[in-house]
Amino acid sequence: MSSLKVTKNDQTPIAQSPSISDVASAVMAEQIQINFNCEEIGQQIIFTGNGIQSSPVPFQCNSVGSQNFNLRFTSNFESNTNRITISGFDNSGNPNSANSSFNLPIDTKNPVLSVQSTGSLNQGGNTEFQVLYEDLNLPASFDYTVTLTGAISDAINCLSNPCVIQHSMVQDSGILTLSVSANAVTDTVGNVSSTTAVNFNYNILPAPDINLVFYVQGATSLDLGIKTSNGKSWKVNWGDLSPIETFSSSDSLRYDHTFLTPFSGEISISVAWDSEISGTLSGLPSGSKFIEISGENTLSGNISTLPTGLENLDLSGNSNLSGNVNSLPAGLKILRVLGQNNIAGGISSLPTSVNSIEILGQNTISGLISQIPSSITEFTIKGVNTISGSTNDLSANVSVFSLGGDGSLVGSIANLPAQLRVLEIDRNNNITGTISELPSNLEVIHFQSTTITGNISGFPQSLRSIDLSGTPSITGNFLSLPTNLEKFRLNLTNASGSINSLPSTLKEFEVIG
Amino acid sequence: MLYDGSLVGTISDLPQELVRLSLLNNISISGNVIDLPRTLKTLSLIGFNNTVTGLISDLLPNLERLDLAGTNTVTGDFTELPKDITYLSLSAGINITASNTNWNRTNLNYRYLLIHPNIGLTTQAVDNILVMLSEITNWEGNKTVSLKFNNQGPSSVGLNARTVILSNGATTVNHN
Repeated sequence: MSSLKVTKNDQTPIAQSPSISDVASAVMAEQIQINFNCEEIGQQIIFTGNGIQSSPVPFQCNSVGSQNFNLRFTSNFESNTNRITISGFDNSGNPNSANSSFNLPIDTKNPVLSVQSTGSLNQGGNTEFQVLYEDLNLPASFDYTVTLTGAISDAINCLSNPCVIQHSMVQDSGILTLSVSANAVTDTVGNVSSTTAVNFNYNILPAPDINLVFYVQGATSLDLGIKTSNGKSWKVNWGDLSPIETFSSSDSLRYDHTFLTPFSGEISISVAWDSEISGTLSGLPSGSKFIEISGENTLSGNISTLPTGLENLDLSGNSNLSGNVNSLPAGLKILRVLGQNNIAGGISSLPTSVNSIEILGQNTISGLISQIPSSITEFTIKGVNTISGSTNDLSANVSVFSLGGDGSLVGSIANLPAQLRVLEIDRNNNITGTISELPSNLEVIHFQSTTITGNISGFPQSLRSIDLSGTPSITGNFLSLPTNLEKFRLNLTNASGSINSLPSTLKEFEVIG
Repeated sequence: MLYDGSLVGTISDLPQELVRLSLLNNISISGNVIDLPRTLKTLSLIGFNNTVTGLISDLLPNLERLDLAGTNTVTGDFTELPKDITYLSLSAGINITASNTNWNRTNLNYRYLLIHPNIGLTTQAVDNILVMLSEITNWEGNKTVSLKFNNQGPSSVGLNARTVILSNGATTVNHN
């Protein structure tokens, strides 16, 4: 009686073998090479087990020693393991004394595809998609195509996993289809991801139009002209129930509208999101009480040419206004002008009606904190201003105090207005105190140069942004940072901690020293 | 005045919405760059206790500024760097090569480049980097290139490229 010795390499998954298509019953078969020893010529080896294409499969030894045999499996073999039993007879028909059995690991799983949007899905935004294949036996390299159609037209050759696809300033809205090519990925054992292209649809939401809103009082007629940067037309709702009209972009043509009766109310204009509007303040409709222009506009001119009855001016974009604050309309309540402005004058000349003022740019405004009109609750002036005073002099009504420039700001944190939400001082100051004395509702604190002290645990929990340069003396553990903090920038700190204790909302984290 | 604050931890524990991470001196950051938050645009890790590992090709594609110094083991080729980087400072623990000049860069702005690796760049690598930088047409900010330290000097190819870089707006291009 012969003994049967079988060895096998069951560490490697069975390879699919398209080359055996000559096997009549197999659409696609699995195949494994088995190695065993024949101990005498004529010895027969029989393989039994689930999924073996023809079972039992006799193998007859025609030589003594190590032999290889390709064992094939049917295409509908789906379990992850298969128990194979090998038995045998010697050349006299005596069975071997003991059968040999082992499990074969079978990988029949196709690579799994997922696509995730990790960016904006808004027109004008920055999209990002991650195309990811997952499988136990992914290949070492990738080379497939992702086609984008609809809101974006592109074809990306993906050579890595995940494949990151980015587009900035998406021009169109509507359905965006990511189509991952057929047969994109074949794993190391031959399983193919998908034999047809796989589509993923996303909806790119349209960007809102840029809006210009004028509030006029007792107007009998109005003429308007708008030149858009990309030549796109613009629409007007005159507010008097007359039909909305669409006009062409022009730097010379103006369009007249006559109101049947003196009109008081809003006139709204809309232009496409990717347009830019330019012009001078003198071109704004006279008689306007309220002017709001969103988007990337570039208005210029002297503030002395603003409509005299203006109460609210809100300009986004990159304005370039000049002039002295003493020429602002006397009844102005809200002034918000972004961009690179050059406005001068003394604080004491600000209209006493102003509630909120925000002027960005290189302004040169001077004066004392105590001269800020008591009507003001929000005060933001950037630039190279020279404003001095003590924290004692800030009105209790102030909730936003943001100042750029030099000056001599002194006092204690403890004297800041209790309802202060934003405190930003871009230049040197001599405001002292401990952080536990900060107003309890503070959301933003930014000192370009400071010597304030304290433990991190003393920061108000309401803070979203902390930016302290200079020589602050801050101790404690980052674990105690406000839980909704988004920005933390500290120069020269004694604070310590671990990354895993940082607030999950953090977007900027900078620690020097 | 002595400051003894510190920050320890691994990259994989960083907040996932982080856009800017800038840490200097007493920090001990470990982990693989492949685990950086995908939102990150500025990464500045300067401290000799850092043990960051990984491949340059695994850096985030939207990274705009990269400063790495420490006991890191980040390796790869210059051409594998993210295409939008405009500020690059790599020293101590960086093993970088520059095998060719095919960096396929569409962003032609640059601010600052310093590469002082432990294993110095070859003359060919220095030449390749200078040739690639000669494609930059808009230099901003520091406008400085430094390929000194233990790098080899450029050949005439690199020197010609250096002339172009300076004519395109860079103010300083240092090399051995």
